[in-house]
Parts: sequence; C-alpha cells; structure tokens
Amino acid sequence: MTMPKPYSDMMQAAMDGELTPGQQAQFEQYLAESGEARAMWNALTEVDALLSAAPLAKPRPGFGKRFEARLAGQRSRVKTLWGTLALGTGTLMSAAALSLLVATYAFALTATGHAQQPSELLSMRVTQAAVAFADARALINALSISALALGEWGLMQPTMWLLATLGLGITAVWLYLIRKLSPEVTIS
Amino acid sequence: MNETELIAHARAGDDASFTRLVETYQTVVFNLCYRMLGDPAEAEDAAQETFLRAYSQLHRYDPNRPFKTWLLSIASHHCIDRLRKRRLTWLSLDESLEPHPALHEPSPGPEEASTRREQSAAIAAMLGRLAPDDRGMVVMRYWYDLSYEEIAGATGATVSAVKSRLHRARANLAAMLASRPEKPRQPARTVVTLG
Repeated sequence: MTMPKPYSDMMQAAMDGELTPGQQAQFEQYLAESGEARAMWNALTEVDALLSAAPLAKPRPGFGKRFEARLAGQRSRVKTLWGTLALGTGTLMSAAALSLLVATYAFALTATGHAQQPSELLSMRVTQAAVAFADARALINALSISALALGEWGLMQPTMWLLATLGLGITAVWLYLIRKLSPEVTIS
Repeated sequence: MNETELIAHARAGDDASFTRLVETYQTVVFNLCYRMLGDPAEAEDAAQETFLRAYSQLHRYDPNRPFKTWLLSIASHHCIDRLRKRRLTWLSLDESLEPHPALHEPSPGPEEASTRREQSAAIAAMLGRLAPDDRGMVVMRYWYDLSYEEIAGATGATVSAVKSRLHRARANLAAMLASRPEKPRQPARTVVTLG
C-alpha cells in the first residue's frame, strides 16, 4: 500500500496519540476518503490492540534459584581456571628454578677447579650416612655439616642470591594468583 | 529496602540484594527474551545469561538510568546476538506454534483458553517474522510501555530511528495480520486510545 508521506507520518502520530485537533480532523477526513488508508488504519489498530493485550510470559517457578546455581557454577569455573593457571605457573617456575640450580651447580663443579672436593665430600657424607644409619646422632651431625657447608658455599654464590630472588618472585606470583580466586560467597 | 538501595548493596558485593533484583525483574527479562526468541527454553537461558552479564557489569550501571531499561538493553542485545548467530529460520504464519506454558492460565474456560493460545501463537509467529532489532523495539514498546527515548537509550538507536522502525514494524505486522486466513479474535483487554 502506498500512502503519501504526510499521511503516513500522520498515521504514525495518530498511533501515538500525538495529533493536534486540527491534524486529527484532517486525518479523519483522509481516512473517510481513502479506503486503502482506512484498511491500513484498521489493521494497525488491530495489531495495536492485540499486542497491548498480550500477557507477560513468566519463567518457570524457581528462576531465582536456578540463577543462583548458575552464578555459583560460573564462579567455580573461574576458580578452576585461576587455580589451574596458578598451579601451571608455579610448576613452570619451580621447574625453571630447579633447572637453573642444577645447571649452576654443574657449572660450578666443572669450572671452579674444585671438582673433586664436593663429590668426595658428598661421597663421604653418603658413606657416613649409610654407616651411621642406626646412629641418629651421627646422621644429624652429618646433615648439619652438610647444611653448614652448603650455606657457606651458597652465601658466596651469586647464583644462590638469584635463586632466592626467584623464589621470592614465585611467592609473590602465587600470592597474587591466590588473591584472584574469588572467595566463596553464599547467596541466600 | 528499595531498588536504589538494593542496587547499591549489590554493587558493594551483596549477592542477596542482587538475587532480590533478579526476582523482581525475572518476568520482565524473561518475557522480552521469550518474545524475541520464541522458545521458552532458549528464553530461560538468555534471561539467565542477561542477569549474569548484569551482575558482572554492575559497576558500569549508571544509577541515573532506570534499572529496568538497563536490564532490557542487555537482554535485547543478547537476544539479537543469539538470533544473528542461529540465523533465524523465519517462522511461517501458517505454522502452529506452541505457546509458552506460562501463557496457559488454568482459570479461563476452554474457549477462552483456546482463544488465548491462538492469539499467543499468532503474536509469536508475527513477531518471529520481524527483523530482530524491530522485534525488540516492538516488545519494549508494547509490553513495557517504554517511550521512544527509553527505547532509543536501550537499543543505542536514535529516537527518529526508533519511531521509523516501530512504524515499519507495525505496518509489517498489520500486513501479516491482514493476510491471515483466520484472524485472532479481538482480545478482551483493549486499552488503546488513538487519535
């Protein structure tokens, strides 16, 4: 159906109840003269009435509870994601730190000219440990000596400082990631 | 606690307050989703998703805007996205649609219930043939009585575009109604004042 634009606009305004009395009279005259316009107007008012009377569709009972469950599920997924990320990052960083430690120790053994001494010491300690297996005091002594030796050695090694810094870094990352885990909140 | 307080509490992390908002607006949001998507199960999913999005975006909500309009905006955009994704198969007016169970009210007699079902099916079928954007505007206008300005705010369109689209949508609906072999009977609750 083709309708002159002024009347099309007028029909739209009439639908919204925005016509002035003068426009209203002009519009009604147009409807009286044009059968097509009248048919269109009748159809529009019918649509208007049909839609205006249509009821609201309601969700099934328990919508709120289902929403709570869904929200909890979503949070759980987020937690799992962050937890996996935290675990993965921690594992990777630990592996990297361990690799660095092993590589540095191996380098120290071969490059410092004291290659035999640490291995001899280690062998001796292992032997001592095996021999003094039943003697707890001897074992504790051996471990103490080893710890002291390792500590003295470590204090002089920049690598150990690097590892300590790395360890602090890992801890910081862990703390950050754990903070990201949203706390369990129950919705009443 | 009024709505403003509920929103403020929800923004501060009080989930119970947000749940109360969900309960308040569940029908409003669900109805929009149902009218736009035409399927109760999908409408439920879309309505739930709307509230989840609202929950996560609550910090962006402007308290100067009506909360209902903001929710409808989220729901409308979400439904339009869904419709575009599924490349809606336009429903034929001749198809018999099963209306949502909530529309089956037990109180009316068999004849009235049948009439309502017929009307619901007709409305669903006709809405289904409108473009998604137009459909959302029609629902906001007729079911929630939003002004053109509010619809423009919710959809991101200009007021003149809203007027134009609504007029086009009404004309399309009128043409569909006229082409039906059996028109649905005029509903009992007719409160339209024209002219």
